[in-house]
Amino acid sequence: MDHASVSEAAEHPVEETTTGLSHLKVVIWAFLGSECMFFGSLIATYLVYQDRNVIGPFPEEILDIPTTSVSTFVLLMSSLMMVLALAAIQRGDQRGGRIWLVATALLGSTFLGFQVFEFTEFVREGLTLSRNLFGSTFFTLTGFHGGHVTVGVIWLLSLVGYSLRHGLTQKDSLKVEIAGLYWHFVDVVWIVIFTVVYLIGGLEI
Amino acid sequence: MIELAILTVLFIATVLVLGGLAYGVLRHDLSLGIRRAQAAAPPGPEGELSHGERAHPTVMTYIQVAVVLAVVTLAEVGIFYADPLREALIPIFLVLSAAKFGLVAMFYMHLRFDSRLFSGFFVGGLLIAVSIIVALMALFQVFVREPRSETVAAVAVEEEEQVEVGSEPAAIERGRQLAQQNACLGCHTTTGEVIIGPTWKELFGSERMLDSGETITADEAYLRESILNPNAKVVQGFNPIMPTTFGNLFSAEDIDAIVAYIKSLKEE
Repeated sequence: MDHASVSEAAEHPVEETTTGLSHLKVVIWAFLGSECMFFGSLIATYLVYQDRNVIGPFPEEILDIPTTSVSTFVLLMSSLMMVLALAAIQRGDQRGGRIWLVATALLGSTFLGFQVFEFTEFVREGLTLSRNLFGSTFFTLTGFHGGHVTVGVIWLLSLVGYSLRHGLTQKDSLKVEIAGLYWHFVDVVWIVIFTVVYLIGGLEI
Repeated sequence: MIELAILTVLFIATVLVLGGLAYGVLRHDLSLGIRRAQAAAPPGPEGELSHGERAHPTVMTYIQVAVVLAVVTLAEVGIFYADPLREALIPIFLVLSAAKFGLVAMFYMHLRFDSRLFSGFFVGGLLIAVSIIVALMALFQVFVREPRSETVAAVAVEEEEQVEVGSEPAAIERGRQLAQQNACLGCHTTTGEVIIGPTWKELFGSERMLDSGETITADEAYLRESILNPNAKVVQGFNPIMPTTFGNLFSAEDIDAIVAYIKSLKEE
């Protein structure tokens, strides 16, 4: 690859394809589409069994709305950090990109910390995976979400590592964009979970 | 105490990360490029866009979106604690969360500025997901079912009646409810049909051929034992797969009620 095509690639990070779209982006969007269905099924299961619980703890007794609001805020802000990281990389600001990536990973880990806290607290209060229908569906849904966040944090940290060793230039912005799409997806899933499980599920109807 | 400590650490971590970044941004314009961008490109129509791409959002847009997301979340929590509305809150929550969802997808995930194909993938998946949710809820009659509080209240009333009356029919009815609520009937039918476990119809007093080869009469003691310790005496032809946790779930009265219910399924 000569010098001219390198700078060309920097301006047009998209490779030559039949659709004119990056294959990686097509793949990640197809994957996210399937993930919608995956989480949709888990949410459906939660909703179906939500009021078939005959023994406690019931959602409205045990869900901690104030604390979860804070962790929700943390995850939302991590999405902001993620777009700022992408914007920095696209501008060619490597140091800035790294800072925002680390910030995203830190906030993601904080969110996970809140979830670990919540889970241990619930188990202490007697809600386990096998206690009742609420426990089974709640832990399955939020557990899978937490697993996705964990994967996201590892992905972000590996990007930071890559950036430290090889640098993340404008040419590499697609790498960050793909990770960002995954991260934002995990964020929107939480937006739904927070509303459906916590706010609506926490209402005493 | 430990919980409180963990929670405090988490809160401090949040404040430190967000505060530190905010400080960095305010003090040094930390790699946001807002000032630089403003200096380089004075406000005006963004005519320099080439390649037919639509305008990409600026860092300012990102921050505005984040502020809206935070404010909407705060509003949701505020509404949650505004008691009087209750049932009316559900649609409000759904609309607000859909708005947040849309904002993130359009701006942070760039769907508003990117190829339609990507939107198609995502919206297609979403539509299928929503269909699954609505279809399953309809199938399980969530929309027409009485709210849980009423179900629980009904059980409670039943309990009181039982204490008051203590009569056989009340115990049978309570046993029937318990069997239904605890999904006993998912494996044991009351119609004579055999699905996963033996049917309860005509069970009481019948001769049972066990896995071990011996024959036993299904009396009260046997039924009680089989609820508490299902694997002790497994009937021939069935697998020892019944959960062994019902002892923790049922009180002695509950088990009496279920046994009474099973007894009632035998025709005199």
